[in-house]
Amino acid sequence: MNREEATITCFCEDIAEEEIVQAIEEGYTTPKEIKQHLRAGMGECQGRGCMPQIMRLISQKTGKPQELILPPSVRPPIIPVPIGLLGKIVKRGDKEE
Amino acid sequence: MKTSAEVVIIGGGINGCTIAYNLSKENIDAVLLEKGSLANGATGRCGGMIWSNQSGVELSKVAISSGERFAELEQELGADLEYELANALTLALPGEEEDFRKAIDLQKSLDVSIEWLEPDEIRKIAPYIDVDNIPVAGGYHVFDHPANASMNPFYAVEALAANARRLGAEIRVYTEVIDIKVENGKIENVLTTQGEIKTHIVVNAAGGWSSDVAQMAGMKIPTMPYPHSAAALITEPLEPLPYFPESSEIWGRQTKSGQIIAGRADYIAPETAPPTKKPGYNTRASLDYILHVSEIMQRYIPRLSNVNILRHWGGFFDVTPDALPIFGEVDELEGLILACGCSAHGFCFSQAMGKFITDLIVRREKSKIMESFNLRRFKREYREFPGRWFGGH
Repeated sequence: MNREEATITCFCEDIAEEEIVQAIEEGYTTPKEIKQHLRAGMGECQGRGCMPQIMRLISQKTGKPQELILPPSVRPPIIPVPIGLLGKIVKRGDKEE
Repeated sequence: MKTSAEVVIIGGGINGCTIAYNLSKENIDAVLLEKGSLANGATGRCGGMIWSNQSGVELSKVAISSGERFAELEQELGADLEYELANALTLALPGEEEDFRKAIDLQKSLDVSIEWLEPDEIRKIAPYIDVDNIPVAGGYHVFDHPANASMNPFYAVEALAANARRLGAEIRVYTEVIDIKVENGKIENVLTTQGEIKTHIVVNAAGGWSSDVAQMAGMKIPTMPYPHSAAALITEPLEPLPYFPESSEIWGRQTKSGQIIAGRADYIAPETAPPTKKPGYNTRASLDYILHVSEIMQRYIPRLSNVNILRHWGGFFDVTPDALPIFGEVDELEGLILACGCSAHGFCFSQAMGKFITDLIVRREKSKIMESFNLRRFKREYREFPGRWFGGH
């Protein structure tokens, strides 16, 4: 694959459309498997940019209707949040239970 | 799908995939069944950590032999698994010094390169750790030892599965086991959502679902999925820290890409857990968890305040009443082999366990240590897990 001409699908982890198509052809046919295999959607935007594209590609390559392709689990905090901001909310000794 | 196999493995996590790979290396015709995708349960939610400091000499030896196998895997499987030796720093909180010293003596007797550090020494090697504020009574440092390392669990499972396939195993994802048929005290076949497979040997490597799988064969085993501290979070990549401090409050490590993966270490055994913490498959993320881990990380390393958390996920351990794994044959049912109940150490023990199960199936060999983890121990007296994880693991 010529990197210069490649279409980048996942900007955060720098993964090209060609790599995703290849993965689908190798049998990684769910968004979750593609995520685990290529790290697509595991970067800063947590797949908000690339997952719809990946789901479309899976539908195109496998013939499965797009509405039957489920996105991977959404993991909080959705957008990156600094540790300092979250850590300030609980006090020491303030146990979860 | 094959309609018969010498061995059917249930569970596509690190244990199942390791067994599938090891068996196919010995030319055993194996089929692995996974109801979701590979690494769907605890493996895909774990920290990928390998630790020699386990409770007791037997378990430490299991971890060490497993670690030695892990060290060979990248070359053997021909894949980058992000294997890295740990440069571990585990902090003793006040009152934990004696336990730490005992553990260090045990590890030294097993030739692990480990040393006790005074708070001043910790300040020197890791000045970014807020030793006074935590506060820290000391700690230990393990270095350059194969059983103290880490690996990317997704890559490990994928490479093991790919190599098992190459050697002739059938790895089936999205194939759920519905029933296991037993006739005259012997396993006859396995019924799945995709058809039936004739087999006389079933390996139960279903982790959190292992008691459900055993139930299908009419066996009760004392494993259960237990949520709580099995969750974790991951940060954005940052410059390498020489050490990520762990303790009885927090576990974690920095990955090869620079991200910190961390979670709470104050695991509570089911029998001592408050009523709200019931066993179950709940892997939903919790706000409480993310807030508490952030508080601990910020208190231990104040300079992490500006680092972003990218995601947080839930998970569960496959626990047993004595927090020891269940390996090997079942006296009451010919053909059922257990490889489960690893109680938060499944990834770590997997390579030793894979070898043991393979030796058992192929050569009828049983190592003495592994036999001590047989299910039959629960018929005798066993020591109940006291309810707290030592040293953060």
